[in-house]
Amino acid sequence: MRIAANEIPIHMTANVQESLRPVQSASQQLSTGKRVNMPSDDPLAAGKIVDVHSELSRDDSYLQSADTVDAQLAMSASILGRVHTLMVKAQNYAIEGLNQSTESPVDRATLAASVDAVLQQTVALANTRHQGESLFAGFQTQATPFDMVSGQDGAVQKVEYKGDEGVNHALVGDQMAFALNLPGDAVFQSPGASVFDSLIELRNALNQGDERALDGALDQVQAAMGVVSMAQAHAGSLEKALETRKDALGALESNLHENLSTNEDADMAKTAADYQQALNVYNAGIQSTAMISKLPTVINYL
Amino acid sequence: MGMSEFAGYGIGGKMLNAMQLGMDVTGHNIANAANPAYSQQVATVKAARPLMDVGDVGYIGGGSEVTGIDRMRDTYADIHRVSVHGDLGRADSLLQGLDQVQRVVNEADGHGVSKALDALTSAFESLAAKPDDLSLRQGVLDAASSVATHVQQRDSDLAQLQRQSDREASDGLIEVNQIAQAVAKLNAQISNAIALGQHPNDLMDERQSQLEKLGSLAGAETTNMDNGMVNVSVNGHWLVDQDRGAEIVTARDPQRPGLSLFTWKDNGQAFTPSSGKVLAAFELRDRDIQGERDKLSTLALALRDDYNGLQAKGYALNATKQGGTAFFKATGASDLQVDPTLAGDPKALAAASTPGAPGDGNQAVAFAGLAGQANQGLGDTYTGALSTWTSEVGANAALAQQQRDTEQASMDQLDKLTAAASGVDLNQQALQLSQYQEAYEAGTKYIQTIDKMMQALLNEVVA
Repeated sequence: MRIAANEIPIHMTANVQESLRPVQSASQQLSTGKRVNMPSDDPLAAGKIVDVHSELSRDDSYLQSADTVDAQLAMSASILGRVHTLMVKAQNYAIEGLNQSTESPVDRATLAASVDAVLQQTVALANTRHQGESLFAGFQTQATPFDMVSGQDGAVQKVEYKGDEGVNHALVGDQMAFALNLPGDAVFQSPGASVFDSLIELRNALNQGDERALDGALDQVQAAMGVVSMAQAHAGSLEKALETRKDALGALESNLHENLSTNEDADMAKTAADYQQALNVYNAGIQSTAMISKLPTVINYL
Repeated sequence: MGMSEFAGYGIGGKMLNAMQLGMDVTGHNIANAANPAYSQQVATVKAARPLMDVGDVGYIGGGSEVTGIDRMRDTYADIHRVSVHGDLGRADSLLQGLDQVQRVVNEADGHGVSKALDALTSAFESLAAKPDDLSLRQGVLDAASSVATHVQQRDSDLAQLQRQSDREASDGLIEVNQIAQAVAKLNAQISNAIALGQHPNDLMDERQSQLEKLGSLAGAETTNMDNGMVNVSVNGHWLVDQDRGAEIVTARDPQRPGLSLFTWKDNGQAFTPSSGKVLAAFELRDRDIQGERDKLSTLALALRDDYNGLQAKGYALNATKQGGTAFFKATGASDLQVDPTLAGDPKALAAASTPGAPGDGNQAVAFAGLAGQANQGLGDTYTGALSTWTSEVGANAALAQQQRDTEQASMDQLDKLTAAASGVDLNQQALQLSQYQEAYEAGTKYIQTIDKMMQALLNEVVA
């Protein structure tokens, strides 16, 4: 095919510009460290990157929620433990009261006062707030869940529950909600096993010296201890499940970061080699262009 | 009786003229060697019409003359040049446009709508544990507002790109109108010249150049007429008819503010380009960019419906009745916003699932769970849809790059064919110059000789 001298510069310019493209692309990858700077660089990877970023964000959120649940559960478990310890004391007072031979009205009165102190302390514990909100009031977190009502003689006759049955939750995974709280009445005022009622009855029985009532009160105290114990164990097992979940979230996060890197990051060594090669091609192109543009024609020799 | 003695002068004179003309053509070629639109011209030097001798010799040659200055052109390639210019113009514009679009809707850079949505989900999760905390409630509203802003901003950017494409179309069509007139005028000039027996080579080069420009703008189908004119049509409607040019009119589109309608002036029909930069502008404006805006609107409405649904079923802080205000307000992506009543009153956020329950954050948990659920309108989760759209836009841009490269390769191939026929080769022209120069000198020597003979005759006979 006939080649006219004037067409050569036109094509060489276009070819040189074209050979600049891989130089520019490799250079951008080297400076950003990323293989995918625009969706068109790798459309499938770009989509995956969006998904992974989102999963990482959700993972982080779930970890934070898990920490919140953990803190609250730990607090609840600790309070239940202290209540249990106090109930053990009350139990001991009851047993002491039943050992008649050593009893005198004065001793029983002292025991009754001790039980009353336990009552006051357990109510205070049940009314504990965590970050300003009642732990055992169900959804009524602003209210004080347990209200002591005194009789005419000034002694507490009953404890009223001002909270509700609500259970709040936190998300620690897709569709994975964890209970945050235990409604107070279920823990402390279970029928026939009420912490407060058993203590009131125990105190009254000690004051009256009524052995049968004392016996009944002891049974209730022990039943209440059982309920508190179970609640504590439940909180404990929830915490263990939470730990497992946190570990899984941690492992997931590592995987996600790796996934992200695979899709997003440039292989620096390879990219540097590509850059060098592209640069060589470009240099060869511009050198040969310069040479060809200087090629003489017959006119030079006329 | 032989030829007149003076016939020699005639032959000599004709020869000098012919060689002079040849040199002029060569000079013209050399002067235009760097002009890519120029077609090399060749002077056809033929033996002149012979003189009839009434004697017994018969015809006697009459010297040489330039019978024509021909334009060297590969007409097969020329037909294709116009259409390839159209394809390349379209591919080039599409590539540039799609590159801009992908920059606007890119979610993979980590600063997009999906990031804002994740932050909203996080805010709801924080709120769930302490639903009566006013600063956490405000946090949710701020995050929701951020989502709305991101969506609105992206729609606004896309709308701007759309208006830009529209302007490119209208600018292109202004040029089309101008070129149509220019081609019509050239047609008239060329046809007149041919009728007078002339060779309007440079005018034809100019016309070819204009036709290629026309092709690259709107695509053009050309028809060569017998009278040397070229008729042009675009998608079946005439653009140049002999010496008349048609006109395309731009008007505001009443249904799409900021965008234009293009019609043919003579019959009011809608103008549809067959190729070229203008077709790309139409495609970007009406298909690609509009498509992205539609996707964004689908997302905005999905968000509105999902979040409003939960807000309606939940209870505000200490409320005894469900709902109260909406969560999002939107007719599409361009006006997505947090409901103004809610924005001004964080307590109105329906975080609870039961009435009068300040510690109930279960509805907030449900809000947080929206991110993991597929929305019916979208057919996917919000992020799933956004990531799919990112891939799609990337794939389209990558494909556009490949198509442009393909068209460029076609153009390069055609350029080679054209240059093979029409390109000025300085070597060839230099040799031609040499030839004409020698012939010219030989001619002058011939005239000198004739002259000497004449002198001799006059001196000997007359004196």
